[in-house]
Amino acid sequence: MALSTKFYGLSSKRELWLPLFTQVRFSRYKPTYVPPVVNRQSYEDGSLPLDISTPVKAAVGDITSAFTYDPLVHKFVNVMNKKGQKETVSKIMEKTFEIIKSKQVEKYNRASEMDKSSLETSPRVIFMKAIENCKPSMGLVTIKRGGKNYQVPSPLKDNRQRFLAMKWILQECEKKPLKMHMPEKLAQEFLDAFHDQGNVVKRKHDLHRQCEANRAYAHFRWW
Amino acid sequence: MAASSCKGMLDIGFTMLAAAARNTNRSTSWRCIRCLSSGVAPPPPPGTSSDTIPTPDNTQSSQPQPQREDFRTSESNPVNHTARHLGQYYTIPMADVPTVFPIGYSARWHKLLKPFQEASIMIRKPAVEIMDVMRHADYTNPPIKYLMYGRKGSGKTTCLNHILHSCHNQGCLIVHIPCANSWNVNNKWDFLDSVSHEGMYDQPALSSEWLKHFRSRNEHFLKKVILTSKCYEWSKREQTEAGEPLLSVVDQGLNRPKNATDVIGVVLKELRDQSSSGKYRLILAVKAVNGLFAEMTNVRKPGGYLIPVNELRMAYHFKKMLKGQWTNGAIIMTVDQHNCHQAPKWDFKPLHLLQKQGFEWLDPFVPVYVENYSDKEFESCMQYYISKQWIQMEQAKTEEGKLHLKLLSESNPGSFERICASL
Repeated sequence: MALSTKFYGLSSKRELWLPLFTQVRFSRYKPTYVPPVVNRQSYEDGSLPLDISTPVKAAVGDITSAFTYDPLVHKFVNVMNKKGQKETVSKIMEKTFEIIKSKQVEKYNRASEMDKSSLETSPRVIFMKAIENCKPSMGLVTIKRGGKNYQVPSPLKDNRQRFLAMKWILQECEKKPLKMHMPEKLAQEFLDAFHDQGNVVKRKHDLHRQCEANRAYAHFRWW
Repeated sequence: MAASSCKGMLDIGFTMLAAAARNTNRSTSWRCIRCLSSGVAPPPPPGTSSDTIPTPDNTQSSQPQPQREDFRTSESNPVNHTARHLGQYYTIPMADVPTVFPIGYSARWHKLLKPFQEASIMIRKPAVEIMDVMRHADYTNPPIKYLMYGRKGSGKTTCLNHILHSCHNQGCLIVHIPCANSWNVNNKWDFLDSVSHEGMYDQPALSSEWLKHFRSRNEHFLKKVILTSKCYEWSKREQTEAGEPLLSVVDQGLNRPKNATDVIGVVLKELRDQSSSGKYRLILAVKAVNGLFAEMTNVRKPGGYLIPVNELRMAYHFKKMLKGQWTNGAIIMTVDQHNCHQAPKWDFKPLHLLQKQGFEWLDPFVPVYVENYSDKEFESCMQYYISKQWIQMEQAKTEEGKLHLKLLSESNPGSFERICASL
């Protein structure tokens, strides 16, 4: 199970199966089914407890064991996805990587031997670092007390942090001029965030500042 | 030894071609010509399908491949490239790129110049084969026609560019059509009733653009070497006297776009007529020659009439050139599936793309099949991309990753480049 959660990025909550109360609309599977593990290595070295009695869900189409697959990239594509056009969005993502790479590689090939080691050229590393730099660690939750709404600072979970970072980057892209293509917008945002600059990182700092200002309401938090 | 074997190959080739020309049955002639490139090629220099090359480095190829560092060659002059250099990259100085390849380069190749800060082309079998035959050809005869064909993205255009670079270094006069297919497709409004021929059409914008490139490429020849043989009248007041340099004719076309298409006809006619004088060697290079033999263009007249290709003067002039009724030169062509308009494009073979009419027009020609990368070429391309930081993922550099990429791209140069773009 540990492997499967890693590859899906979902929580592995097992619910009690009650035939009368199980919702059928949103799940094709009973809770006894486990998600498939998409990792060739684990099948080869026998680390996976292959047990006939445990039923396994059908494999998902867009998760592969190829080295080009990355869970975080996959998540970003899903967040960016609109109207089910995942293929288009994946292409946008690839194009983004290409733009980032050609920009950085050009710098690399022009730089002197001394500067070369300090330049990061891998687009995927830049993407990861950019998302990491955009993640807020604290957020605000609205709580109603005595007819008044209070913005109460609260720590965020990992999933929420990651989602907010991705959402802010995409919202920042929406503000850019329409004539600019999406891959270019994204490439610019990632490179900015990678260097700890840009509006998204500023937005993160703004949120942190707001939390700091509202620390007087922290006692409203009961959880 | 290579020279003699090549001459032998040429002789056999010519008898084949003659036989093919006599033969009226299309299918048999096609088979005859086909063997020139694959079967008749002598076993020693370009190995037919195997990747081992009979050279001193044959001993090295027995070593495990990942240790290879010889994906580059220091021989930067394509005139000297032989089968010994197959699968290696040669470098063109960045400053020379605009003069050597002003037009007609592959777009993806050109895009990589900026990040790589370097222009290099892989030396591949079709280009080396054609250059070898060109080296030993008899130029007092009519030009030999070489036709490169292959799947999409297999490197036809890059091979053509490689050959053109060697012609450029030898000081040939190059008449280059960057892409004949795009003439039919990419101009919707560029047509004009022909000045000289009623019922036909000129393409002023495309013609003057072509003339501009032609002028900058061959200015040296046009200024001094070639003179007009007779007087040409463009309008009541404008005319070019006999004995003036051909440059004045070209400039007429550039100054008056209305005359540009007729100017192309005059220029090509003068080049044809004077080719036997031996002052210049004429190389006609055409990318996507099937565009000239296509049926329809994308140009629609206001009434709704779609102009067919055989009513275009410019295509007509170049088709006349392709007949090969001149000497001291060569014709190098490719057939291309890209940008075909209302034409069958599901097969890459010449007979399919040129159709019967075009095939008979070009016959006899030497078909050269441009294959996907061989194992050695793929490895060399991989090494080149890694050295240029174009492949960055560590998993891609492993043996398993290479196999994976090879499977994904089918060793096709174009798709391999596309897949590597995001790694």
